[in-house]
Amino acid sequence: MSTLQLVLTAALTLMLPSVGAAQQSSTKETQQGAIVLGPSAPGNTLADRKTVIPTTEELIKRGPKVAVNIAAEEMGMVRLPQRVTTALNTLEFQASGTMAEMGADGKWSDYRVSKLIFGMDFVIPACRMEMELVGSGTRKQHEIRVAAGKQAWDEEKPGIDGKPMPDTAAVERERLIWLTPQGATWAAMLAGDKAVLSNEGGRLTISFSIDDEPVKVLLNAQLQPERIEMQAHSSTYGNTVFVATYMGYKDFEGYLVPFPTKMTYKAGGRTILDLDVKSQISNPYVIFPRPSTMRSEAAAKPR
Amino acid sequence: MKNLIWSCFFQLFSALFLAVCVSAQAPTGVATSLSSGRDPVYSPADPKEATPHRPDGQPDLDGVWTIRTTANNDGGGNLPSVIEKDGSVAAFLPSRKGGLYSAEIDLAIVSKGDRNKPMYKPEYWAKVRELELHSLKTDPQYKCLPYGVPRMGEPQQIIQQTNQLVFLYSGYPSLSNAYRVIPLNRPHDAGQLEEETYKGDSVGHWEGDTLVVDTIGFNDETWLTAKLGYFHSTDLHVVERFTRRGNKMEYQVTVDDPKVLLQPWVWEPRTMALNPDPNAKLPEDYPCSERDVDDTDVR
Repeated sequence: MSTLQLVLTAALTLMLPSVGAAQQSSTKETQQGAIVLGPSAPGNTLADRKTVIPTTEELIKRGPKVAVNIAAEEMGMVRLPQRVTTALNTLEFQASGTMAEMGADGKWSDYRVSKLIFGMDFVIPACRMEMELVGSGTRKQHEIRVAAGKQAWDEEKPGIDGKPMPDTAAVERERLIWLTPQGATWAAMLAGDKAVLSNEGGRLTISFSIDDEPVKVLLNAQLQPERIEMQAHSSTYGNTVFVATYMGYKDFEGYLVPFPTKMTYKAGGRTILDLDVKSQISNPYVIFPRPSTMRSEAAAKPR
Repeated sequence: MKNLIWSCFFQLFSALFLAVCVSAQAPTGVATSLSSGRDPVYSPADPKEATPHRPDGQPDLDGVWTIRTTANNDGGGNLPSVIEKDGSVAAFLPSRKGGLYSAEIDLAIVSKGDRNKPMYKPEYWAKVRELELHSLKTDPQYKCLPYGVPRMGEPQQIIQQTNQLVFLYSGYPSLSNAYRVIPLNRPHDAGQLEEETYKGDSVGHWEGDTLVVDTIGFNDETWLTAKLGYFHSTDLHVVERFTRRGNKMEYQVTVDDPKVLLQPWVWEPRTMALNPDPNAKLPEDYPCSERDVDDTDVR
């Protein structure tokens, strides 16, 4: 391959990022931070670039803002040399598993979740949870639960035939955003210096509040959330502790965005979601236009 | 061959430009503790600067205009690249952890994370995602189709006459030294509208010191931007506004397509800068077919 072809290939690779993650281009970096493309450049693969993760004590010494930023980078949420932290701002995953839910009468219903698609926007914040549920002896039901800002509604199809739900549903639904690994990391970044770091058995924990509800995030050795606890007042469950646990992180798309393959949510000790993740998309096209039947909210207030 | 090398540089430069442009489109209202990377690079025209006028009284838009650069933001279009003696090319790419790998995937994430999205009707959400997912095959640029309006963006050169302006474009294979003729103060050409073209039928008028270019009469074969699957219908209506202040020019675009969009899509304003070199001219683009490469080479 000629030098020109190499240059062209590298240039085009930059312009074709959706597939380029698997491309191992021949590059090296100069002292000035420039990247050299060409025949003399050594290999530079993902495996070549092993990140050195500071120890828990080192992270604690560096303070919450820096430590959270380092953790956020490991979660794929810090991008470009200027360390942009808002670039990864929507996320979607698809999963299946089981769900348990308490009804208004206080009785629990158990479901098999044949399909769950959870799309979220950290900025608005907003989420859309589309589920195919099979209860005991019942037909398959299809539900789409949406929340954006302070409002919530259910949809027949994504974006279509929205029916308003009580505002308390918005709080309940958006809580799920902050219980996801990237959602909790986003919230921890927003907490900034108000976050508190501690060492739990050699692991870093980050404590902060979301709307006055205390949150504690326990990270694994790769600085990925392993357990997220949130003390919340839930309109469904009352004062309770929500606990999300994550395992089997995987970079689903090759964008350096690790996401768990296994997730479990508990409310007050009872498992409410137990999911196997099939796929995950970083920054998908997800939007949340309010149904025309709902009162307009001039602008969803970001956190 | 020279053109090919230049175009390679342009693409590298464009990648850098894209990164900063997109990162400049920070989520509005996000707490300042999150870094959007916006402030260091975004330099709009100073509204206090006067608008130069021509002898006929019109604002003077004539000249070679460049996109803003990231390196020094002077609009000079300096390419931060050098060719080493061994044939290697050093380019100041947005590498975070070192190496092309992080630069490339960071650009992808930043591009996809642009907060300013067109609001498609729900029945088209799946289509947008599908087009984006397979953009290597579905993006019209990879078929050497013209970018069309508005994707071709701001012109790199404007030639102005009292009754019309000519926009010249250069730099991307799909631009291929494209041009647009913008007649002033006349209605759309019915015959041209029927043809439904890539660039549509443009007419312009002045609103104070702002040139307003109204374009309709499109086919539906182009995308609104690169890679993200933002298609449109033949009902596309684009309004571009050019406001010169000093030697900078604000370029604003509003895209409407009531057939597929819930509401008009307003682009983030861009700032063009006048090239001060009186001998400045646009390079000749190489034919699009020459840029084609084996896709397997970049997978």
